[in-house]
Amino acid sequence: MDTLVASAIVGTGQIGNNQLVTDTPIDALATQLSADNTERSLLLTAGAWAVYHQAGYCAEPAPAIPQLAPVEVLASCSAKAALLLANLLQGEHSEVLPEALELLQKAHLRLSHDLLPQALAIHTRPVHTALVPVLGERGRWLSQFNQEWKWVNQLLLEAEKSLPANAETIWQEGTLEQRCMVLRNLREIDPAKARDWLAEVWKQEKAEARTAFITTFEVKLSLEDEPFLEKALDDRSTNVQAIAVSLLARIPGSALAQRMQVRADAILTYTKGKITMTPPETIDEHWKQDGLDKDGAAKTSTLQQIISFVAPSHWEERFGMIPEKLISALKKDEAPMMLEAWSQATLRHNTTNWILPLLDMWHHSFKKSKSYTDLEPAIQMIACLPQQKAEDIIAHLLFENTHWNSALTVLPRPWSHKFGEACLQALQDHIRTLKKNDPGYYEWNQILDAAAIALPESCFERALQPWEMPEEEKNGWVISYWRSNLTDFSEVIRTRKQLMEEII
Amino acid sequence: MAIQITANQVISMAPDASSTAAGKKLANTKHWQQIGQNSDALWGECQGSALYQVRIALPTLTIQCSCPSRKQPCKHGLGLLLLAANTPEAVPVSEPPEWISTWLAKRAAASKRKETQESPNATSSPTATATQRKTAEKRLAQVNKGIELLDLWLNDLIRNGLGNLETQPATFWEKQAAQMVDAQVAGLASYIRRLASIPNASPDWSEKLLARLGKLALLTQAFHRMEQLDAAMQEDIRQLIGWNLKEEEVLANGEHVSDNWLLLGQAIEDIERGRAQRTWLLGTTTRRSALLLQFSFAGAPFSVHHPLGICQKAELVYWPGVQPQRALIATRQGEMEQFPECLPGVETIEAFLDDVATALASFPWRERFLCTLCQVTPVYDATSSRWHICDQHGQALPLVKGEHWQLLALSGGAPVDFAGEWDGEALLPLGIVVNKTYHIV
Repeated sequence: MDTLVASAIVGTGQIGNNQLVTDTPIDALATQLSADNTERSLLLTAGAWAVYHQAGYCAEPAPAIPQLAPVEVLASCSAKAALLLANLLQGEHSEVLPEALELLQKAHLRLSHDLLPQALAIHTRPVHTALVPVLGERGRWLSQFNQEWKWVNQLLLEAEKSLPANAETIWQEGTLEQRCMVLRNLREIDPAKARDWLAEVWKQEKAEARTAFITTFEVKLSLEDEPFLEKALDDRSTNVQAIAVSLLARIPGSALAQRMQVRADAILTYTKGKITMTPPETIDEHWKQDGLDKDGAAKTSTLQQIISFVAPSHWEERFGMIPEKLISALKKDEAPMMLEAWSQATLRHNTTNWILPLLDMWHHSFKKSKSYTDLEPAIQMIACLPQQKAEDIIAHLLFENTHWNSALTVLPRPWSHKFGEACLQALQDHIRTLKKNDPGYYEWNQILDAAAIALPESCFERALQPWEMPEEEKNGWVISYWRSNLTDFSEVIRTRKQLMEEII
Repeated sequence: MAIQITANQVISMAPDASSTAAGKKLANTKHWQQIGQNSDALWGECQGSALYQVRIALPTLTIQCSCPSRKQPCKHGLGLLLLAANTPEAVPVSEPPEWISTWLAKRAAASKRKETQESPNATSSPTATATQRKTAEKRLAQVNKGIELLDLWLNDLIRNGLGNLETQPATFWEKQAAQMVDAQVAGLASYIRRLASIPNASPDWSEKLLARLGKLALLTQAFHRMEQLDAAMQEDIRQLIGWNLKEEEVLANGEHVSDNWLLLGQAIEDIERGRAQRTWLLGTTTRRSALLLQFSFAGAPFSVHHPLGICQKAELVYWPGVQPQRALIATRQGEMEQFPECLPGVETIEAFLDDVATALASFPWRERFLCTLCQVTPVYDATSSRWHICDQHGQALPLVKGEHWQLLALSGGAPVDFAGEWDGEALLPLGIVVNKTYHIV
């Protein structure tokens, strides 16, 4: 056959009447062709050979057959639920997907097998965590075949909080993400060993890796970590240094925590019923090592930074006052920055008794503030509260000022019936009395979006009933804007309702 | 019995994604009134900008809606079908309203008219036959001339060498194809268009191209010696070259086969200015395969929707030929049947390849084959990124390039019954039976 193809590539015009042999029984047939047209003979021989070749196609030897997927322990979701889930996995109302996956997990069900490739291909990390428990044996089995799906195995190991047998090899040869996972798990089990592993390689690692590794100290952080972290204060990377400072500040009794406290004590004084801030006159020898701005000793941002490292309970002891009193003793012009510093300290040291008094102050200062205020520390504190308390606070804040809408995202879902009803009521009141150009439309729409995925089942009936709206003639765009938003809203609610009915 | 259709099947009918989305929104009882179904049709009235009447004939799922949308099927039709698929209880079996019964009566009358039109072909007047003969002779002369030109062109290619084709622009092939269109041999024209994609597409492209050119030469050779071939082969050659048969000619001359037909799957391919759709059927009793071909041009949807993964009792008519493959559905007989728990197929790849060889021996131009294999395992080899179907005897056939994760997810490494389309080089998966259920992939 090779000579035939070669003749055809070069061209019979060049090569002349070459022998047209295929070394197959076709050659015998070809001898019957008339010799006066070389091109035609070649073509017909090639045609016959092609059919001969096609008919003689031989199967390949089979590659190694993979091990059978283990038998499923969980039952599959129903066909109807699979259909709903397929829509969510395709990106339709994907905001409902985490809830759907949670429902599956609670019902001790798993995704049906046909959904697995789509589910595994999802890239969002928080969804991954919700997916792992519902992938079933088949999903875990399938994930081993595709590099992109290795996250399944990684998350499984993380969830077990145990070390894989080859942990040391992974630690030495794995990717940064894998190494972090191993180190984090080892910290759970044996923090001393994790420190030893890290100390061995610390100097050779790049700044990016050092930053990632040192973050794992947040697991089981203790005074025993102090020597290592103290050394990290001199790290070339400012990121590593900053994390070390923050970690050391959280260790009660650490040298750094004490240094910060001494500095803070020099800054805050209580006289004549008022707390006053005074910039320090001198800076100590550890100042720069502790990540503080050498040239900015007098800067409020530096003072704020120092206060934020000190546990808020220290001030209760030092000035002998409860948090409410301490807060009310702040001077008016210093209050906003102290509020932020104490909020950060509260979050850092997990000081629950300060959250409510601080939030109260956030509320008042935000009401008066004319400029933009970053509410993030306040919202993070709300996230630390038990659900009912958090809901009460948000209800109080939100319905007075819709700028607090981003606090809704930190609330546990589903909301309580009471809070759900209150939200619906506020939304329905707003929409019933829409004003021209609806100045708060953006915030209210965010509240509607949050409600769509967080309302409890007991609020669905009310949510799905027709909502009262003003006459259409006035404020045309506002009406159509809300009409379309409400259509989306009820679709999400309806989807959730179907999911709850199907996944049981 | 309620209509047997899944939401996925409905979605596959939608002309585009926005229609699917709009259809889904309408798949809610609140948009509908006068909704119902019987064994012949599904109907409902949808409140849009006006009240639209949606009529859906079963089992062809032909949708007719009184809305002005140019999209076919429109969102109302899709919405009603989705509603029926998702919540069958929302579409009760009931007496059809007057606008449905008259429509059904009209459709029945139209198909009867068509039937009666088809039969009197034999008794046409002598003058008509004379004109017909004249046209046919004229066409034959044109075809002869076209094939003569094609033979010369083929010889030129071989004389100048296929190596030169590497640098030829697409117009090189298109020019020759256009010449074939002028000579009324559309079959050869599309054969030549498909050649254009071979150069440089693979390391052994010259061998592949030579094989295709050789088969083309065999075809024109067969045409030159038409009188020596038997009638069935003559039919095949004429169809390959470009004599299209009208449906009524197929109905009159083709072989009629009644069976419970499995609609196994579909392949869609881009062709000149449009798309071609191949739907593969397999008869459960006769074990014969059949191919329903449909074309659509300029983005239009295919005219008939074939729901897949179902079993339908029907009479098929094959295009005449040595090894009939292309067919049309003459009459659907009754409702859909239960899809069998395993596929009628062969156990070994060897047996399948034997069947292919036998088919090629009687008709060497056959390009595609329906492949149904029992108890085979889909396997993915990560190092080579290649997919295979493996039988129990250690033999394997490659799958077409692409991702076939669904096969692996459904089979879990266990043997399954498999249906695919074999093109001589690789298998295109159509579906597999897992746990007694057929899954379209």
